Amino acid sequence: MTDEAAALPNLSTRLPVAFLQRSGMIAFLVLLAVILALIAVSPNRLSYFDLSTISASGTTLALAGIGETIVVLGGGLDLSPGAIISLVNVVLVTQLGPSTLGVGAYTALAVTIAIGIGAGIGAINGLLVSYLRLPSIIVTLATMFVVQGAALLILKFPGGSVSSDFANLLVGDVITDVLPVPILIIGLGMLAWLYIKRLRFGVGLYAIGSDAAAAQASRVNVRFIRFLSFTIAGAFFGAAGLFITANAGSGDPLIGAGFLLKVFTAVVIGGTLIGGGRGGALGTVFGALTLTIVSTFSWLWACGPTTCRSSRAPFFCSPC
Amino acid sequence: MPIVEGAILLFAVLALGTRTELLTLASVRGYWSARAARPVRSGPTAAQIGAPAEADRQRPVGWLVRNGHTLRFVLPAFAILIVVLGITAAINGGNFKFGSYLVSLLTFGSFLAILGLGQGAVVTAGGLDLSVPWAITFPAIVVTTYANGSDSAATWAIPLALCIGAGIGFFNGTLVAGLGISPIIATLATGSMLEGIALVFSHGAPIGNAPPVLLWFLNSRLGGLPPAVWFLALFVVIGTLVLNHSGFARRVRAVGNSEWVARLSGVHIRAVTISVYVLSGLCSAIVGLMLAGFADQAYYDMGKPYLLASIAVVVLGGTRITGGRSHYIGILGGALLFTAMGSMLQTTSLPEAVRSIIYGTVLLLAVILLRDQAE
Repeated sequence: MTDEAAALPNLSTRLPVAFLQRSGMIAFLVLLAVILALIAVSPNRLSYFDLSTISASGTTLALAGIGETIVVLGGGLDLSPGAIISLVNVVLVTQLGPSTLGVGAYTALAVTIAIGIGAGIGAINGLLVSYLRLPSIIVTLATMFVVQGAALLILKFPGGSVSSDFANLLVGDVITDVLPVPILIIGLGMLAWLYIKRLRFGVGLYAIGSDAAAAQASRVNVRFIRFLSFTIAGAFFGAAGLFITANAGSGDPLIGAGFLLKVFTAVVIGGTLIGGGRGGALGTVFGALTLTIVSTFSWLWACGPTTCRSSRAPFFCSPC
Repeated sequence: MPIVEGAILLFAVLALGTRTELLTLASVRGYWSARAARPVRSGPTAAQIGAPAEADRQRPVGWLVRNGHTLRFVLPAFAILIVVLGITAAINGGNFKFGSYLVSLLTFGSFLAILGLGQGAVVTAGGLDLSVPWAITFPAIVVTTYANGSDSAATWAIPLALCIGAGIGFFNGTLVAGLGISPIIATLATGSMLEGIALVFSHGAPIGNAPPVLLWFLNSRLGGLPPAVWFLALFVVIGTLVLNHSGFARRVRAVGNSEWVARLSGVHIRAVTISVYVLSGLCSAIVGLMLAGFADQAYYDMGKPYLLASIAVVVLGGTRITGGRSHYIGILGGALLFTAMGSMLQTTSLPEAVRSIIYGTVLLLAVILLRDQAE
């Protein structure tokens, strides 16, 4: 629907470009091009091990990116994803730790805690932005500092661990040597987005991002949808925190510190317009994977090719 | 690699993310012809300004009435500052020496007061500068590296550092005004690239020493006060002129209130926007030099605490965060208040994490309490 809206002024010339750009097709093609280019230049063959490590390091960013896309589509900006990821990480490590619970109960509890924390903080952001009508940048900047402070209060120094069964469940294999779990999680995230987009909320989200006044005039509940967009985004940030905890296996109060820039980069590569109303989260996911591959590759470039000579080198060598 | 990610972000936003038209030859030509056709080069004519002033002279209105609206946003910072000073005195009891406390308050407050002018101008014009921490760090590292404890090298290293600061601001301003990138994204990307450059430049460890002139500036006494405090007094006068009593100030507020109306009124939006970011970069560089002089070294993440602080100071000073309203005296009050709160919290044994929570909460409360009721 948004692609049509974007193309309306001069349908004949704009349609293909706008469609490619805003539906995430460009991001998908870029991802494909980056992968093909790396396969072409790298001395080693692409193995299942590469697929599993790259998807594992890209999933956190993909999940957080889906959340940020929802806020951006509604015309806002959320600066708190990194802090929420850190808080979820330290809460899981300190409160659950390597507990003796069964892996099913443990995972259910961890998911509830992570998404609960994320959605809770997102709801606070949403309340302040939509019902007190404060600028989203300032609100989320303030919550970013509060939440980051809380994370440092709970766990001062990196340490602790989570149940290894739980970690293996999230970063292991669905089908050995064919499908790693992270890819499944990314797929679930994309399905969740496609479902959200079809809801009344999804339509309203694009509407308030394009023109809040027009949406209001069309009887869209602008405030409630804006509130909901921050809450759902928070839930996705919580899920990202859950996954990075499983992937890292330990606690670090600053684990999410570098994510703010990456999340925005993934959103922009994905073709979502900062300012709202155009784009979608599928592009963000492709953007997140592209960024993960490129930044891993840039480490290699910065570190020199000596790491490539190890026995178990990834197809484009290991990050150092 | 923040530098790579920042570059990718900029590239992507240029390729995919802009809605406004790019800086084209036609628009430049349009600007020059419009400028040539304009009767008066800077701001409204004397007759236009004179009209309300004439009316005032005929029917004298009290100073309080005329400035009531400004005072409503400027005074809270000073009122809370007095309360905080009272609490600090009460906590310290008999050991509290007001004179020395005031000197240290002004010295530490000068960092935030200077940052506040740059960030305040950017916010007034409707933007936000997230690259402040790295625009502080990088010039400071440059000075301690090249003027390693030597005043003769400082004669060119200090101007170089200030130029770098202004250059960073010019880069930000060009991204925002010339290429139509959202201020948050543009300054975030610039900041991360600078972070990468600073990391490569310094290898993550403190390098070199500050030149003696910077040490003198912060740590010696001139008539009982550090030279930095005298500089602050001068800076307040300049800041008030720049942010509130000049043609530039009127244009900045016009852009912040409504870019469209400002454009129709003949304000050159791009020039104003680029200037506020240059001012912010320059102020950040000055603070970077002062911090280097204070600690006699520069290190990779020395600027980090100053992102939230610079924005909090501006908001506490009664600046409207969406642009169009600010007063430098208010920002000065905000800077002193934020510094006083910091030192009050330092005397308690609260951990750093709790202070971060308190600063965030203070920022939120200030935005909630100082917003316009009509908005």
